[in-house]
Amino acid sequence: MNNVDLMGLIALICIWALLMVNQLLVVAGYVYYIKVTKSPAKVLSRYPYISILVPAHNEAKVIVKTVESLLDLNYPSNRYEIIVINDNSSDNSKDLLADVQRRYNDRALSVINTDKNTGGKGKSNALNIGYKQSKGEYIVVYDADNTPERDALRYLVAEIENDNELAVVIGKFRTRNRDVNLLTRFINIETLSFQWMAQAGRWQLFNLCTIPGTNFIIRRDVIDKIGGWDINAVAEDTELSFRIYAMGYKIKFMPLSVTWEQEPQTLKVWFKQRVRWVKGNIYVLIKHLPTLFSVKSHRIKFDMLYFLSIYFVLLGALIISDMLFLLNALGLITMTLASLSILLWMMAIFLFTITVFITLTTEKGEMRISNLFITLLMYFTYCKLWMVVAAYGLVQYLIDIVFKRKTRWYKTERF
Amino acid sequence: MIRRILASILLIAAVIVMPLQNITYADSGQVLLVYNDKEAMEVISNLIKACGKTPVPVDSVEYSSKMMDDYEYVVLQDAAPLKDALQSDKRPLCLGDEFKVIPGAQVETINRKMHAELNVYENTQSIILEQGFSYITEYDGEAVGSISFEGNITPMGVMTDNIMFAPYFSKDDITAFAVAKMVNEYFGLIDGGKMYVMIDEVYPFDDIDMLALTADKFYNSGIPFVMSIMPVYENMDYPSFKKYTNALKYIQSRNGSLIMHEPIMTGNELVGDDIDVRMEKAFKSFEDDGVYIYEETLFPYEVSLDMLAGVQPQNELFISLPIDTIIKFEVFENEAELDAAIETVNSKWLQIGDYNRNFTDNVPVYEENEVDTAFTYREKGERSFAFLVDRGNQVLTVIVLISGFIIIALIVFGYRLYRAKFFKKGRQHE
Repeated sequence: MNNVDLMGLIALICIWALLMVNQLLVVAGYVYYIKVTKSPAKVLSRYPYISILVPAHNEAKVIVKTVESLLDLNYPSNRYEIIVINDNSSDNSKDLLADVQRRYNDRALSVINTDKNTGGKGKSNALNIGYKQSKGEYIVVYDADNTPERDALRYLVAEIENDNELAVVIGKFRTRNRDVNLLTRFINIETLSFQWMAQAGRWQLFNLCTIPGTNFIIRRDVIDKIGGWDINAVAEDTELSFRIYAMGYKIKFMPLSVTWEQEPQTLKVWFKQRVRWVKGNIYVLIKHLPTLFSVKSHRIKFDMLYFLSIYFVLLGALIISDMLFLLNALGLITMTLASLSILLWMMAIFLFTITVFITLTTEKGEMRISNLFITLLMYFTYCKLWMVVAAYGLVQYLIDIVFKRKTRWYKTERF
Repeated sequence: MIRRILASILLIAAVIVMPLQNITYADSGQVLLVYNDKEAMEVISNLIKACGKTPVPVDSVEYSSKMMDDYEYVVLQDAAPLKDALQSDKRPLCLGDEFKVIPGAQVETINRKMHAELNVYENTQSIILEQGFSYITEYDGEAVGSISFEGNITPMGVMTDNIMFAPYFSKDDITAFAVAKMVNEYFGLIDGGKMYVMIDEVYPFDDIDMLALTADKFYNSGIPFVMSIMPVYENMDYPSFKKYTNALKYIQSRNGSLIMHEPIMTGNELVGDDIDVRMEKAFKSFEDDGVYIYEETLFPYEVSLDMLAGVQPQNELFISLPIDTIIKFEVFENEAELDAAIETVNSKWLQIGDYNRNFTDNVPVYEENEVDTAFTYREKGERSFAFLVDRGNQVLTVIVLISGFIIIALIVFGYRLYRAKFFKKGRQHE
């Protein structure tokens, strides 16, 4: 036995422990999905005034479709406004939006055009600008590439109106371009399984959710209390979630509220987007780390631990175990740690595949044999790529700290 | 069209029927052996194998009359199939005291222990007969060997045109030779055999210096010997394997014959190559290093030195044998053990045969293979946290299995929900 073996053993324990946690979340998430499916829809007794904020930066390719789908929501048109923050765009977004405004001049559609002096500081800043102009009792955020389903807003409002403990209700996003290539198929499965089923599981077990960047509703007074979005946060959604937990509120997941968005179609774009997510989440974790030991809310503690375990423990364990395996194979280190049986690893891969597959049964057209094989392929490819992304994001974050570089908000390229 | 179909049916029928018409015996090298005593079955099997045939042991409870049709030779240790054997004109070889009534012979038993003298194939031996010992009182046909006790002389076995019978045989005395003689007669073989000395189950991790010393001492004593080498399937590139093959080459040059021991199945053969592929690899690896190992094609009957100790040649200096026999030793752990074994073989005046001569007249010349002394071994077998990991393996296997069952159950439920939610007529969401 040596230190290398000890590291290997710890890594092994961490990997399996987190696999089991994920397993538990998926089962709980599925139970929540059944509950939501079988329970009757909540009825709205009134229609509170809603402000929909759409931050946009060079989104000419998609912004018109997004605004038009927002104008078509199944909600009284005089009870919501749309505020598009066209943030320091250099494309023709301004003209396109002006044209939409002309066509829908009877609707509450505002466009705030900023330049590099008045804006251009990222999504959080854009949201703060839009928020200042908004009049709604609730604020709803959609990304510029979204196509929400007609009832998406109604579901969100019905949930938040019926429970005063809720500060935020989040919906889910689906992959609009899922059939374009293998990468978008992977992303489609990833969003259904790792994002939404894990969110549902956390809600079912611990009444916990993390705000995504889009398709969520938040109380105006909550934003007032927390002083708006943190403009230094690249992952403004996670940051917002943590501050809401700290106030003692809950964030609920409503899977029937669906928006469709465009996901990266090339590895390069995907890599950049995911590195931004990783760096953003690490920023939030570091920022809130001291509160882990002092904060009153158990929710923030749990979520902090959850994110820490995913971004540091699991990632670290996977990297360490892979590195040890590689170095041992190259003869650079001597490792004598007993190994788990091949049969167990094979069963674990099978379990991973069917666990992901169960989440696909929640969506029409996804329960296909081809998706079973894509999931299996995903285990050996996409999941490994995620490791690279997470490791790269961590290194980049550390470099930013050392050289005091400001993290830039990278806008996902549209197709 | 109908003609074509009929022709096809006839053709298929012909193909099916043709092999049936050609059936004679499954394999004339195979011998049906019906038994009810496993120990006796093993002794008989070894005798049959020593005569170059393959026994097919069948427990008497699994025996069926149909089996009789598949074999030319039938050896019975159980009496039940005797009627079938006689009816099918098999001339069965019946061995043991299960046969109370047998055509052409009368059998009785003794009611107390008594001293007896055995005599077969020019060898004699004194033994004590136990109470209940069965012996032949009257017989037709040819007698094989004799048992003398209290004024009686009775044959060890008898052979008629229809049946062969020996009411008593034991691996611990020369009655086995009488049975061997009858087996030879049964298979139409000529009596006469060689005796070999074998060092059994030689592994690469045995003391190679001791193996070389064994070869030297046997060689210097003029005793040809056989070593039964265990197959090696992996790590043949290790220097220690080269050292091992060098030792085997040296043994060959000292007139040692090497045969490959049959593989011992441990249950791990499920993973990796098929055993035939592994054995082929093992033979090739030895051959590549200049070690020539015979396949185990001869199966001499094993005799012990203790048994031979009581045997006296009647007219000759050496013990005569009807079939090939072998005396087996384990790998000697020290020189004293080795010297004692050689002394015993020499003192018995045993005439030891040279196994190599069955295949070749050449004795290989020793040429040493180069051994990579700079090779560094990885410590194999060391497994840290083995208990923890092995226990974890068990626990995780149970957890994964339970999780798997839960997920599969959810998938089944989910499939119904999926169908009901998305594909129910007239109620399509989305």
